[in-house]
Amino acid sequence: MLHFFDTIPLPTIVVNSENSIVFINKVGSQFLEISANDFTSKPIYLLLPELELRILINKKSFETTYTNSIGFKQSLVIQYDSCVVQEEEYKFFYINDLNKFENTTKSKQTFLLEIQKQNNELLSQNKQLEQFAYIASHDLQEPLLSLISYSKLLEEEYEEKLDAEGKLFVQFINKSAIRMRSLISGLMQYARINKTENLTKTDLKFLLHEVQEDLTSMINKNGAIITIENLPTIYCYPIYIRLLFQNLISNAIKFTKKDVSPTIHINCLERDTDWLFQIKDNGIGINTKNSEQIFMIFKRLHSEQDYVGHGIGLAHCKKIIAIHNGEIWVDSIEGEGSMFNFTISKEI
Amino acid sequence: MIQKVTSIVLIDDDLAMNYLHKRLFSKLQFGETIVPFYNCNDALKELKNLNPLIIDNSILVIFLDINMPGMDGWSFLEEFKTIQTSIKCQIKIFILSSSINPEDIKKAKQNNFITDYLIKPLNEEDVNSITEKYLQ
Repeated sequence: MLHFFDTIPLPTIVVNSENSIVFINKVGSQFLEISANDFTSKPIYLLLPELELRILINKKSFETTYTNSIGFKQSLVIQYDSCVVQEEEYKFFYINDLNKFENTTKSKQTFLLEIQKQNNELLSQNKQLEQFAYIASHDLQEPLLSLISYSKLLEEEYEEKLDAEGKLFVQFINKSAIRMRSLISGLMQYARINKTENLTKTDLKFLLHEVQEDLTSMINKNGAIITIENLPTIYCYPIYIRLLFQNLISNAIKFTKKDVSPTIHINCLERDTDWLFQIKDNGIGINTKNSEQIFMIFKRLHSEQDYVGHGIGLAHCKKIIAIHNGEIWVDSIEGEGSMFNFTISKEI
Repeated sequence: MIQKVTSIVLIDDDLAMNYLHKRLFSKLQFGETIVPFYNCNDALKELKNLNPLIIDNSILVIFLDINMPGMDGWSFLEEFKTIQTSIKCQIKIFILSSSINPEDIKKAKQNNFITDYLIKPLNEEDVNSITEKYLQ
């Protein structure tokens, strides 16, 4: 019987005495960009949150705001009536401002076009940035390689001709050039971390096993003890997750207190919408005031003499987690070790 | 009237850079003592205990790198404010930076402690120029 409303050219919502939606006609579903089934038997407020039913007592038409699924807001003029059918009172809402409807359709289209344009611009900018980073680092690498090669030659073949200071100069040149090569390589890798086509189902137990194998000599040299529990099989970008664990574990081994063997514990908690991973160490810890800075590229807290490194690892980790729609943060007390936490979303 | 630059303090985490500047200053006989530091904490510790020879018109010149791991140049200046009054001679502070970042230059101009903002590495020309401008 209610299908009779499908013949009415105005968007129509039928509501019962309990203010639940009984029916939305075809034009209505189209206009509101919803599926009628999603709202049948639901309270009218779900569809029109700003509707104040008490004002309807004296009015026959009113304005309210409707926000569609992509956030586009429009003002609706609604005409309203009620009647009793089989001893039950029904309310009928007709969205009645077709001129406005046409205008909003136009502005909606403009809105969508604007979003599309912005999206395209962002994609293009991203691509440009990637290209720039890639090209820049290739072009920067070349003179660098010459620099390294020739200063090495100087060191090796002109050793007797160089005095102590001369040898020192060559060492400075070498060190700087090698450092620069690491920085460029780190930057290039950073630029390359991006969502690719293939999310792969990955057994993280096995992945961690491989990471530990890669770090064998570092683990043995420092007497590091790594314990692992609860690692699941999840959809992710395994190349990057492997790099992530490698960075976090090698940091945990590197930043230890003198004469204390690093102990590292890795575990995982399954949550509603994501997986939470925790990597706990007994190292030197991080002052709270630095806990966000450390994820910035090239940011270091310690000098090269104290701890080797370029300040790239955590920036990589942050980007890797970003492409997994997750978050990464650290809980730490300076002098008492750190716990790095990160999440990988179940919806990537 | 040329003022006697008695102590020069270099603060930079880069060994090569400090060595370069110390060598240059020695060669040009710029300053009587040249002391390099590789982090701000060490520099602050020493400066607190500093008691330079008080000669008429003597000056302490500090060359400060901005971009260092741990405490950076700006934080050093904040800390330095608190110990500055215990140092009994004239102090000139030069920021040494590897970049011409307009933000950093602006920040330097607005800071009363900073005498000037220089690009590293310094050469003979730079040393002559700052002697002329600020140390006479």
